[in-house]
Amino acid sequence: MQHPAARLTLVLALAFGATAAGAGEAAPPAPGAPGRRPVLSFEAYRRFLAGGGKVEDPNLFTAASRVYLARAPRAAGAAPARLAELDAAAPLRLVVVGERAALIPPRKHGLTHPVLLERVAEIWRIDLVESEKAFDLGQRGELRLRYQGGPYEAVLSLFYPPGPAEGELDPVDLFGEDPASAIARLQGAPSSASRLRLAEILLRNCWLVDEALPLYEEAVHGAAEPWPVARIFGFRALIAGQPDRAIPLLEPHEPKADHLLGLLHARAGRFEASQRYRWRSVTDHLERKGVLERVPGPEVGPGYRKL
Amino acid sequence: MGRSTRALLWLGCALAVAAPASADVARLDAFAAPLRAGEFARLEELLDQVVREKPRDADGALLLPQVIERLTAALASDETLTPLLARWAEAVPRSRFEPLVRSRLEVRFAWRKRGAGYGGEVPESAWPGWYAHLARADAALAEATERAPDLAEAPAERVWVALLRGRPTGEIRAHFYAALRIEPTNELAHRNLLSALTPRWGGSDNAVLEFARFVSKQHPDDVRLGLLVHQAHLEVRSGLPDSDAKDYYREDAVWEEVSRVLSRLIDAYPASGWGHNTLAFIAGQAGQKAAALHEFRWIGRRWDPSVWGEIREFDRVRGWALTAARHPVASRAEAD
Repeated sequence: MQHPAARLTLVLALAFGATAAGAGEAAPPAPGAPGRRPVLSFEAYRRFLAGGGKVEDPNLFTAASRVYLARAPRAAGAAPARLAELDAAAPLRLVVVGERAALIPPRKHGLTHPVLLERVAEIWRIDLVESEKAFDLGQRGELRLRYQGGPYEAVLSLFYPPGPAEGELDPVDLFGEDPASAIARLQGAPSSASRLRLAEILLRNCWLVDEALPLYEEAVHGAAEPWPVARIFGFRALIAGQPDRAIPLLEPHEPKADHLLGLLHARAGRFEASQRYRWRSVTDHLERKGVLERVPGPEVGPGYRKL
Repeated sequence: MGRSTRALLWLGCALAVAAPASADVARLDAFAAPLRAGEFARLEELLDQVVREKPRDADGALLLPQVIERLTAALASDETLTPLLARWAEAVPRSRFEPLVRSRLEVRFAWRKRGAGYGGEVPESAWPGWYAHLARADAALAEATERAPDLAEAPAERVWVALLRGRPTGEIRAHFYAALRIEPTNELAHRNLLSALTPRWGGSDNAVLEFARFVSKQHPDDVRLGLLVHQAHLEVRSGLPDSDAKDYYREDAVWEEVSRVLSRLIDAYPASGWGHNTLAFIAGQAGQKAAALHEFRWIGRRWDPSVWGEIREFDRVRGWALTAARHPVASRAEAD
């Protein structure tokens, strides 16, 4: 019987720019080990999934993915389900741009997340973090990019609609440090700045949302100047789809938090509150610029006249 | 010049003095590892090697200023790492490099105190901290010069710090000439002086352009110094209203001058991703389809975010260049 991995028909390898993606493999890697070509690493990944998510060779994954694997809660049966999903979506399309690659399912399997790979030290490694973090569902239920400026944007932007402009979610610069080591160091540091840094690494580098959000809250509570930290938390909660966690921490910062509160209420489906905040943020802005003047009136509420 | 005028800065102004190169980040991070591990002797050894061998990145920029900046950024990004600087100073009391990093760190702390807005919006209470940090930055650079009189980095950096401190023009120029006496083609010193000549620092567009052209003529073989002409035009353009700025590169003389210095960089450093992306971007602004297409053929989808900002802008200009040129092969690949 044909090995299932053989069904990974790479219908088209779009190798944008000079890349050694297809460079010769001196010797095939051991089963479960990553390789110098994306397809070899994908075969190892299939083996990992078929084995129920048992890691045979940690080098198959990027450093952040190893943290994700060690700390993220995983539902029973998730690995075989992902394998079945990928097999059903075959053939996948390989796209390589520089050190990043994606195996993209055809349009009719549009809800299946692509497999993303990064080349580190000549070896293609599976990036589980960005495979999850980079995507969410658009208004019509389609898979779209969750945020702008991600490391796979050049690979994915031709195939998926762009995400909203608000909120940064690209990985924090660790200056070459393994995220596991940065996390271990920061866990013992109690200051607000260190809590914030740790939260950012957990969320943006490792997509450990449940671990990160309480740390943002701690950082806001511990900050000498809470507004800049609360603002960051607001955008992260927005993009992580947990707006209600941030709203109570932003309300003390009205009116400067109005725009963000408007976005958060909209994300929570409370459109009336959202409109109220957004309207106020716009009129306040125009008032400050001298375009509108506030006309207070107890019965009709504050109105404005054009200057 | 009043304080608020002097301090009329954007964050972009600070960025303008950074090397435009998209440096090889992994190569730079090799220096952060011994710093984090507290292996200061090893770090000094690596830095000595950089001074000796003068390696350049793919865009032709010297590595040393980038390494110093990257080490500073690593220390500033995480307060559990910041104390490593004091340990470095203790471990290598006469280090040539530690004061350079300390100075840049002080400049970062100064900006944190001040904020990135216009001078008029900065609270009065922030100014003493701003000036105190900058004074410490300058003192660190003086220390660096005393320890390593043969390194141009410290006087070159002092040009910028003196500018931020609002020091007299004579002092700024003195630092510039001090750097040039050590290294006549020091890029950082030239870039910093060019910033000092911009209208936002009390100079003029003419002064910026004249200086850039003069330096380029003085050092015709130095393609990096040639880029001052590109930087000068960026500065002039940034002062124009949007309606004029969008057509700035459509002037034949501007396009010819800028494309010439960028092409020279690409000829000298054919793998310069920043160079190809910048020339494609400016060709797009100038409406030069053939030139843009030529660059996009090299770029593929290896876009440089520092040039384009958003990938949508990159895709828009790339699409325009491909369609405009009716390039059937490229268009077919795009459709696939």
